[in-house]
Amino acid sequence: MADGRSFPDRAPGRAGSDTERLPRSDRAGAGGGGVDAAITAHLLAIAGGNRRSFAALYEKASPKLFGLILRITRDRGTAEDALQDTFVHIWQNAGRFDPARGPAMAWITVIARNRAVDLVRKRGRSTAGSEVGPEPLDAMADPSAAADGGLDVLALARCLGQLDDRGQELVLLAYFEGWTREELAQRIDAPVNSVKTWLRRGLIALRACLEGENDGAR
Amino acid sequence: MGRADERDIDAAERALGVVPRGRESAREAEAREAWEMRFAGLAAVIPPVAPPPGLFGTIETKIQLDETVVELQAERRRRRAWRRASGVLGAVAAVLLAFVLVPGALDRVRQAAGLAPADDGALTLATGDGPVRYVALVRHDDDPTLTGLVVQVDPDTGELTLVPTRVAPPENSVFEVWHLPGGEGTPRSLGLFPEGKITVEAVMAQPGDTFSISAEPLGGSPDGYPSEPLFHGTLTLASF
Repeated sequence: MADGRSFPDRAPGRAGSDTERLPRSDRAGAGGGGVDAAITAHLLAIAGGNRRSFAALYEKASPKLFGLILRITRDRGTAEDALQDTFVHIWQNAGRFDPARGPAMAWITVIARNRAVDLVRKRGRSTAGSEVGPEPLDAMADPSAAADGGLDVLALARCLGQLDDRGQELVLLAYFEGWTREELAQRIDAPVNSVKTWLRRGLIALRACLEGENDGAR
Repeated sequence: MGRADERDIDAAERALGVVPRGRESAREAEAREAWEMRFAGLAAVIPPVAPPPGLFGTIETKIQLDETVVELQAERRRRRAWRRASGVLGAVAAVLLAFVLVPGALDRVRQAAGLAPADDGALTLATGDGPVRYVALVRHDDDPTLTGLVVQVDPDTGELTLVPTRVAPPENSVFEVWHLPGGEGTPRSLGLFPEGKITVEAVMAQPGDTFSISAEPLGGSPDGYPSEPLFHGTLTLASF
C-alpha cells in the first residue's frame, strides 16, 4: 500500500519515527476492544507522523468508512472524494484526537460522516433511493455490531428503539441523509416547526435514555 | 428543561447537521462533538465496502502535494520579501522564481504526482485555493538555467503578460516572441521582444501552448515565421 512510494514522514517539527507507539491501556475511554485499541494506537502514531501507521489505519478502517460515506452520498465518485478528504484530514489532525473523549473509531467516523455530508450538500444529492428502512435499528441490535470498533452501539440501539416512530425516523434520516430541518420537513411533508418539536423531543428522550444506560453501566 | 439542557439539545441538532453550525464557542463545540461521537454508533450498522484499489495512493499524493504547497508558499513569501527589497523583477517573475529556486520541493511534487522529470521547468500545481494562473518560463534550449521570458495568463480575463529578462539577441538581430497554440501548428507572432513588462489582451492561451523566442533579422521576421527559435516554454497551470 504505502510501500514503495515516496510519501515522507512528517516534516521536522512534527517528525515521527517508524516505531509504532502502543496504546496506553490506562487511558480512559480508549475503547477496550481490540479493534479500537489498534485504531487508537495508529492515531497516536500518526500524530507523530508515522506513515506506516497511516497505511495500517487505512487498511483497517477504510471499508467501514467507505460504506458509511457511500450510504450518505449514494454516488461513488463523491464517496471516493469524501474518503480521500477524510484520510487527509486524519493525517493532518490526528494530534487532536484525545482518547479520553471517546473511542478512536468514533472519532474517525465523525470525520467521515461530516465530510460526506459536506460534499453532498456542496454537489447536490443523488436521486437514487433515499428511504431509511427499518434495517438500521435491527442491525444495531445485533450484538456483534457492538464489538465493532468500540462504539457503544447496543445502548444507542436500545435508546433509539425507545423513541416514537417519528423521533426515530427523523434522527436516522438526519444522520444518514444529512438533511437539514427544512429538508426533513419537505421530505416527510410536515411543517418545519413540527419537525423541530418532534426532533428535539426525540433528542431529549435519547439523551435521558443514554444517561440512564451510562449510570447502569457504572 | 433548564437552559443548559436546551443548549445541549441545540448541540445535538448541530451534530446531526439539521441546523447550521455557525460560530460556536469552545464550550458549544465541545458539546456538539460529544453528540457527534454518540451518533457515530449509528455507522456500525452500515456494511463495509472496499474502496477502489489505488485510492490510498491518491491520498498519499494529495497529502504530499498539500505539504509541498505549504513549503512553496513559505518560499514564495521569502522571495516576495526579497523582491520588495531588490525590486529587480516583476511580481510574476518572483512567484515563478519560488518554483524555480526550490528544486527539491519541485522534484517531490513531480514525483508524487507521477510526472516525468521536467526539462522545461513546466509544473502543474492545482491544489491551492488562491487565484489560478497559467504560467510559462521560456528558457534557453541549450541552457535551461537561462530564462528569457516569463509568461503569465489570467484565465478569467484572457490577459497575457510578458515579463522579459535581460537576455541579449545575437549581433545584428532582434528577438521576437511567438505563441504556438497547443504546441503545434503555425506560430503567431506576439511582436518583438519587449523592453519591459507588457500586457497583451484577449490572447486565447491555454495550458499546453508553447511560447518561443527566435532570433530574427533587424526589423523582425521577414516572412511571418520564426527563423531560429532559441528559447521555449510550455504554459502550465499554477494555483496559489
